[in-house]
Amino acid sequence: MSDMLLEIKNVSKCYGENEVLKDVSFSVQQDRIVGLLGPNGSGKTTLIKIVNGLLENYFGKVSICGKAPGVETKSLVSYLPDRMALPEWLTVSKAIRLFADFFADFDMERANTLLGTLDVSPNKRIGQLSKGMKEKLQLCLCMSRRAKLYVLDEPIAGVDPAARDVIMSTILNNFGEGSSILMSTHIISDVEHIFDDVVLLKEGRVEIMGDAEDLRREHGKSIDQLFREVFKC
Amino acid sequence: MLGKLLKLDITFGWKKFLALAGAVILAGIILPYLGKVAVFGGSLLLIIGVVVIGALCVYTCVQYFRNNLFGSEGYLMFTLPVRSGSIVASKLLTTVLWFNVMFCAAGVALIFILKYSSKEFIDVFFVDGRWKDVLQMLLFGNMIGIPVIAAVYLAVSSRNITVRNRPLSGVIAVIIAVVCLWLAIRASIWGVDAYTMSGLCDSLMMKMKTPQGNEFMFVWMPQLIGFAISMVFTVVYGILTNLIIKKRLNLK
Repeated sequence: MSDMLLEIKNVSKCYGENEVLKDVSFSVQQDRIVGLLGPNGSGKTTLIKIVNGLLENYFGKVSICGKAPGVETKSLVSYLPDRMALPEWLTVSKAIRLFADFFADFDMERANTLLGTLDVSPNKRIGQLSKGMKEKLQLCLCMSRRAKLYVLDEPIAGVDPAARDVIMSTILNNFGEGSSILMSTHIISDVEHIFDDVVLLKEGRVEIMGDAEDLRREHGKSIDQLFREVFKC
Repeated sequence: MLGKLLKLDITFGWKKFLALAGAVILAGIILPYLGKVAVFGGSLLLIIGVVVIGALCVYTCVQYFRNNLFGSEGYLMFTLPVRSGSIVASKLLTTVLWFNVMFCAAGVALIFILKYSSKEFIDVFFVDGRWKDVLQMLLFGNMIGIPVIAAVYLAVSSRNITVRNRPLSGVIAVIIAVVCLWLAIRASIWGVDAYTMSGLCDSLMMKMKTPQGNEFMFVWMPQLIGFAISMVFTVVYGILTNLIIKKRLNLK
């Protein structure tokens, strides 16, 4: 069986005249953590939307475990959006039940443990939670699934350094063997040590990609330094 | 999965709509006493109440549809392992449910008001089989209401057609809403009219009996034909909504 979880081949996407993704190709193999890096507006979120089946009219080929994005692949991919997607009128416990209802791979025990670890009260309405707590709850729901591929869109944007550590350890401790993570971010210094591979997107094109360690050795710099060099104004 | 989606959608609205239905029934109980002071004032209050509650229901449903599918909640809804058609169907079915809850509440309120004004009302209503008129009204209400709901949802979804041009998308949505509403209502009423005028009515009247054994004629067919036409429109609008979501979805 192929160990390729995600394959993106020559993907392009236009919004009217504006081409936001230009012939993007890369793949994510099993047991890898891939950093999808790029400044705001480089096409990271558009690519993630395509992988999650939130955008249809694009050119090129995307396959997740050999299948095009659709109902089936949504069972394989656990997605953490870059915004609060849970209905505010739900309580935390009802949100957990919602995930358990829809996702066969949802681990209720893990969710309850994570809620305790992240100190999220199960009886509160989501609307009553602070921004940080909402982000923790979303992360808890995302990482409580035993998915093949975790797609995390800017999981540490807008959180303080202490919370970043909690988020990163939650991610690392809860993704299982045989799974992979595709994580988009523009805050690199704090997380670059966890990446096995990196893909640098610039104006919708893949500028640099490869094994993180090889890139460091080849360029004689950290990924953060490389990023700053590529995106120097 | 449709069942799970229905559960989610009903969870959102049941408290709000039951509260609104309760308010309508309460208005039906209280208004006759207000009407005693001034009959005209009572009727005016009833009309205002019905309009305000109706507007609140429409606003609640449309806002929920918009936020849940095209707002940030769309990032959750469209990454659930369900077909977009099931999501649209669930929204339509739930709104039809709330529409009927409110319609029934208005019916109960009306019974309270009429009961107050006429002591014989209950006898006439239940013994003479007038409740069947209420059922006919419910059918007629659904005939008009269901395609209207589907047309409004289609119009809301159509804003995705030109997602990067908000003013244009607004104009498109309004045009679609007006055309679809007119088409559905006109066609349904045309169905009723055409049937009634065709002269087939007599042969398809149902003979009903009251508990006292009195026979009377009851006409169902025109409403059923109108209802069938309006269902065809509802299905077409639902399919178009799903098509827009599938092909043109572009969450903010």
